[in-house]
Amino acid sequence: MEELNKEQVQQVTTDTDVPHDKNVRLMSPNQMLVRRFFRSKLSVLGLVMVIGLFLFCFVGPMVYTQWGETDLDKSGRTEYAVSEFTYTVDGVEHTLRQTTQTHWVDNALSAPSATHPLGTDDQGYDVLARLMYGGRVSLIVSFMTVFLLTIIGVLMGGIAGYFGGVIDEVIMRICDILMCLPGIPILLILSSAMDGWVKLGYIEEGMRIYILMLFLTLISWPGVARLVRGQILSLREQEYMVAAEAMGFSTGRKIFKHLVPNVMPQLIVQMSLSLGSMILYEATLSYLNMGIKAPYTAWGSMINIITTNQDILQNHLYVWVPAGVCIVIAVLGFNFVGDGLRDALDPKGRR
Amino acid sequence: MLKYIAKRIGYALVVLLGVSLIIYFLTRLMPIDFVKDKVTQVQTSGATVSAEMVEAMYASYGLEEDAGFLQILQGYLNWLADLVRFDLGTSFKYGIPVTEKIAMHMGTSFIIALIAAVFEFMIAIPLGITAATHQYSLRDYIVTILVMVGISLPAFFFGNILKSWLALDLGWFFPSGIRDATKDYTGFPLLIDYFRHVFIPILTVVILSIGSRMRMTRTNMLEVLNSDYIRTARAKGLKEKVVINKHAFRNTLIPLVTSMAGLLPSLFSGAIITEQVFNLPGIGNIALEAMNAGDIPFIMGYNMFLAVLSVLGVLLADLMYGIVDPRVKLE
Amino acid sequence: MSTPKKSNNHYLSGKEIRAIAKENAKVIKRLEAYKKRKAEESEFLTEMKDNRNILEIEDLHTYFFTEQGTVKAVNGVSYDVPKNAVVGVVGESGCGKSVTSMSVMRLIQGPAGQIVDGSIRFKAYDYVRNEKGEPVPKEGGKPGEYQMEEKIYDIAKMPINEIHRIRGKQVAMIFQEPMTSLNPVFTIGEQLDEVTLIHVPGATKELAKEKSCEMLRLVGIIPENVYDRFPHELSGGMRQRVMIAMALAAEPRLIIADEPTTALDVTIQAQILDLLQDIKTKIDGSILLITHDLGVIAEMADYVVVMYAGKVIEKGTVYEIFQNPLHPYTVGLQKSKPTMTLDDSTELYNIPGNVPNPVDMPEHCYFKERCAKCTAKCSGAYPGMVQVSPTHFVACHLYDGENENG
Repeated sequence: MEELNKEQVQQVTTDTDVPHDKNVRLMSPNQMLVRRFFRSKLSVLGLVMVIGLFLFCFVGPMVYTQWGETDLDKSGRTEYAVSEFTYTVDGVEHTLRQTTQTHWVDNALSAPSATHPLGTDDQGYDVLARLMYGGRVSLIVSFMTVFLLTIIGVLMGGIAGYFGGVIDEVIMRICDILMCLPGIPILLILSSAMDGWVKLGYIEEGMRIYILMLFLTLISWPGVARLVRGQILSLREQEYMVAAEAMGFSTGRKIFKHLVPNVMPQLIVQMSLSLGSMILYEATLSYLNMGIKAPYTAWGSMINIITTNQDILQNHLYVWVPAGVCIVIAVLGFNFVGDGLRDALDPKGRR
Repeated sequence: MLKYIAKRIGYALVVLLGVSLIIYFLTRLMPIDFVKDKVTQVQTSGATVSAEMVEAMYASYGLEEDAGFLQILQGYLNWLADLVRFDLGTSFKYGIPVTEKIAMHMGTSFIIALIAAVFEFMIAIPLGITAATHQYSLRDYIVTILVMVGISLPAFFFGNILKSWLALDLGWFFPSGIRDATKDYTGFPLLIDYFRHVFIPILTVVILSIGSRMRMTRTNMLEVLNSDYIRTARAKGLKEKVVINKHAFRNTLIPLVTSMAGLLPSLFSGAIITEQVFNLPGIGNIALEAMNAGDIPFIMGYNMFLAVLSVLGVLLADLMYGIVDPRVKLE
Repeated sequence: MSTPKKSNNHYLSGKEIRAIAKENAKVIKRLEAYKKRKAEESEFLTEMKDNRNILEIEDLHTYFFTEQGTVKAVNGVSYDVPKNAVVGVVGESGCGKSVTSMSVMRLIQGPAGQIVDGSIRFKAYDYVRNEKGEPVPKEGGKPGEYQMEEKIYDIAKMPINEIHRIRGKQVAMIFQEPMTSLNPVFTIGEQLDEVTLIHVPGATKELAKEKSCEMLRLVGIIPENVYDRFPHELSGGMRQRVMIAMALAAEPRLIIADEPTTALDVTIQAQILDLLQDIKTKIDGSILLITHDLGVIAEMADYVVVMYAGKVIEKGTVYEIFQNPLHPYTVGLQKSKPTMTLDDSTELYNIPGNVPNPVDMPEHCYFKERCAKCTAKCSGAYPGMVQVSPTHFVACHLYDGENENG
């Protein structure tokens, strides 16, 4: 009887990396994540939106080759305007109709048609083509920004959490300061300063949006840093860490070994949510005429025209609404994906 | 309690010092020639900028040509000393002290933001709560989508869509400005006039800000509903309505009220983009114009004003937390 | 171990996962609709099998429909709580003892958790109600006094919006976690008064406060010290006393104490047990005590129910279970309890192995893999309940020869 018991105990304890009962089959952690992510229809929708936009921007121009980003439609356009004058001679009213014919070299502001599925803008550029190329700028800039700010955030958070003490205090105060900086206004100052540089020939006008986004990176890392630091601190609190420390083992290596799997999911969530907000930032700056230099364009820049031209705002929706819709789809897509990932990774609050 | 507040204010001062350094540094990045250019531009456009004003500005921002490190530091300290005395210098675009200009336009921004905030809370809280109590239902889905759309809409795009549709196409509202300057309305017609001007901007702000508030309410409510004391309340025999509206709601209120206190200062800061779109004489729009004109005193003053407000917001939220939540003792 | 399935993969396939989700959604929808239905009182009125009982749980099944499959947390549990008795339910964590008590309170968290089958008959002492559902005042009685009558409800069949007739008023519950079970933003007084205010028709604030103070004194607290305090200002032991006072305030017929002492330190545990012991004699009701601590059971209970993996495996009076434990699991439980008499060389006994996974229970006795006395018969069907004395039942094939009873 004693022997039997021992054997059974052994059987149970040897299977450490598989479920206790071999006949029981559970979901693998990855399956569970995928399942939770795909259970929410919104996350799937978000994924479709993001992938669709990428295809649109990067594969689209290969399919839609009629117009390039900077191809002007020089086919010209004739406009007719009819004006009426009434005048009275000897009590009899006469009407004079005058027809004015204007011929433009560029086919600007032409409504959607077979040659231009989304029409042309005020310069005569094809809106659809520019939408594709403009999306490249918006997406690439936002991706670079998020990538960079994550690296800085992980480094700073890692240093703060690992060393603690004065270093931690200093880095956290810097985080506080950066979090109190007003985002758009501070970028406006920098842009204002850059006006001067451009005028004096220090930099090219086209560099502006990249410098602005780089600066945005330099002030947006505190969120990531706090996440990483918090994770390290909570790892330190774990009992096995305390035990390792008590036994004289170095905890540093262990922390980094455990940190990666612990912080990675949250980091991915944070990154996909930041992508949304960075696209918004880029679009807003471009809208305020601080974007990429003409003749190149970005989504925000395509909307900029309506700040000065009310006619386009009211009557030529095809010029600016598609770009806005693209921005909304991009931000919405990344937010849906980020939210879905967060729900999938954090089973709390689930049924 | 007093010690805690003193400590928090100390931290706040450190943060403000850091923020001011960054803002000063950024302004210093402007080349002198450029500034001179801008000043000339402003002068030729007819603004009253006296030579002394320009001199004073150069001195206080350390913008003299070939300024050494010491001069720059001196400039920063001068500016800081003025700042402490609430003297943000004179805007050379508007020709009046920056503080005065800010005070002049703060009201418009404040009223719009306040009305928007009231609607935001009135709509977001009930919706957030129903979404939480009916998790995974159709209602929850609709709220979730609304939340996401609200968070994802760019202000400039959504504002312009509304403007193009409701003001330009349908003509129900006015596309820009705060009142019709050509008419001399008083009393009720004046009110109607204001309403037709600010309705769309307020709608824009409400739709854009409601999302995050709704999400916050929903997340909090879900957390509260899963807690042990809600189980106790149910076990007492309370009806579900009372459990939610009394026991759960009172707990959800803690972060909401706290966030409301945090919101208070931001009511004064103005919404730059919305005000630009609807050309409202609010502080945000004025600041945008000043920045385009390179009006250094105003830019720096406005940015410091924003930083102070946001520090104040954090501080207020913290204090509020201590008042609303009986568990929290500020120490 | 048991027969391995054909796949050597430990994880479910995507197809299986989808099938589970689909099946769950269907079942949950049906059960939720049943729970939320409107029903006439006659639909959930019933009769007791034995009129001396106050609570009869019969063949209760409470399942959790999870993504990984159905967890049969309570899988055909039957036991009775006689009037004025303390029934102790004992078993290791996860055996379904808490889920059973939560089922009695109908506090199972939906939509995943559902009562699937069985009945919970409860003898309530409720107000006589007129056609409008309002209580009928007692003739010649003081205000706040009403005519009462005994009604037997089947709690499992009650629509969820009728449950307030029972919850809190007839059956009260004391929870395991005193630290988090009180609402942090209301004072002790407010939370106590609420019980009287909702359960006594026409109760005033003054009456409620009076009642609350009386209850606080009953649990050994000076009311003035805590009435206006917030929960976080009290210690764990004090909070548990408040919880007990709250449970007593509506003068329930049954108090369910779900591990009332587990979260407290040892000296406080003793105080709270003394208090429960004391209250047992003062109130006219029964206590259902849920614990994994045999010592507590021995001290408090009149009857003992031993649960294992969602089933009752042995039940009887406290003497029968402690003097004459029959089921190998009960025997093991008692052997694994530390005592002073053991000499140092004897190792503390532990029952080998683990509880089978609740998602995929075997057909045979759940304890078979861990049982030292298992025979060939144990690989067969799950053993039925065997009656060994008028009050003593056991579910084990070792006793199959004796009086078989369902």
